[in-house]
Amino acid sequence: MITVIDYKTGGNLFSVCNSLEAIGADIVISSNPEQIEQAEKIIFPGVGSFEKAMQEIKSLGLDHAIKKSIARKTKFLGICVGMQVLFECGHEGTISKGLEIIPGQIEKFDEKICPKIPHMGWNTVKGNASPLFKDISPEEHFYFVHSFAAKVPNELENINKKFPKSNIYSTEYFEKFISHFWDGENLFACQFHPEKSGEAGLKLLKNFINL
Amino acid sequence: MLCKRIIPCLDVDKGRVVKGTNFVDIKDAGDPIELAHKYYQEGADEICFLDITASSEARKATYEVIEATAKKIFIPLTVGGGVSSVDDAARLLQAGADKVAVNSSAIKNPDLISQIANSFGSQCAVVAIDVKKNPDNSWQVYVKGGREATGIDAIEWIKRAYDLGAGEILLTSMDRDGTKTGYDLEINSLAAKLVPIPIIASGGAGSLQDIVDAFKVGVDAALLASLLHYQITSIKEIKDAMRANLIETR
Repeated sequence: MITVIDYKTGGNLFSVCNSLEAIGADIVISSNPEQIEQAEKIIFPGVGSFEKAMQEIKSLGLDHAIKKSIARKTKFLGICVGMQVLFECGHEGTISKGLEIIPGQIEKFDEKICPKIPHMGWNTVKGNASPLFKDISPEEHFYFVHSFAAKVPNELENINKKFPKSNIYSTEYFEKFISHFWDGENLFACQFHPEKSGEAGLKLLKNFINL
Repeated sequence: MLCKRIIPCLDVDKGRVVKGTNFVDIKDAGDPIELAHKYYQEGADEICFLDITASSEARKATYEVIEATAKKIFIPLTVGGGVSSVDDAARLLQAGADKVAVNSSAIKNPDLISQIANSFGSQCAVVAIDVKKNPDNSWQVYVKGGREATGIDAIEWIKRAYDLGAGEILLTSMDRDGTKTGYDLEINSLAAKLVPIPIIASGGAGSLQDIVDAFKVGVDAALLASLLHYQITSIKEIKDAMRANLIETR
């Protein structure tokens, strides 16, 4: 059973649920902290702004529930803003604190370097060994839509210190950023939207539900 | 590297796909859900529905089409046509659209662009602009499916739409729409340099070379209808042509 976290920002919750149903996953949608703490597997979707997402997460009391479930090794997949808020701090709107699980900042793409922001469309994801990419060709493209990202190589050292077994995939859009994170155990995050990434995205979600 | 996108566009009227030439002479071209799914399987990067249903009562059919489509295709879905309020946009997004395109209503009420961008994010706010070339080599914006001239300069309107929070511009040349004589490269090239948001070229693609040419002048995506609906070419052929011309594609 997959618990999909609903933190009332609308967003891509329904798209995520549609894609999970298409691959035959059993899902439950929840914004209840106790239910989330006890969940077997969690998907944490998100679009919208970092700041607004954090406000909603806190007002629903989900921040502690998410931290606890990750700490007790629940398989967890954050998507887009659901990935970003796992980091320490976001620079969207006013600078705001995230869930502080992964070291690093979520910063805007540099307007001086990137001709068009957001980074919107299909791009490749480079890395190796994350179980979510099992049987997916390294040439596959995934769908992104975001203006903020965890840039590489910022904080790589700190990430490796906190998660020595971690595995980072990156993507280039004029700047290099983290497009997929795996802590080496139970925590996964994608900056792209697997639910909008065609058959490759469905395969990735299937790999998650089969973990 | 970021790919250039191929976006099949389905004009939908009362739940059926139609396609006209120069915005008139409408022909039936099939079931939108089936067609969207076929393009999805063939490698479309995104799907666009433009709802041209005239009466608002008949719109229910559109929501049903969007809901059914969103359960079957797992790529972004843009829906436009008849969006005149944030509520209209919200309804489309709830039905399963990822982006909403506004056209005539944004001309009447430009704040609609910022309202949609603020409520759902700029990435949701596509501004569709129908243009025709004036005799003096400028471009004018038309509304009501191309029937009404506005007197507004297209370049000014593109800039304004961006300032108001548009996340993407869907630029249709009415002179070229349905004619298969190629995209209007002049306005597309101007637009691509004008604003730091993606430009979707629309209207006039008649050959693989036309699509390649549009990407070469800097647009980010190409919207296609007749070429695909009448099987003059396929998404695979288009992407092969893009690869042969070193244009990044998936």
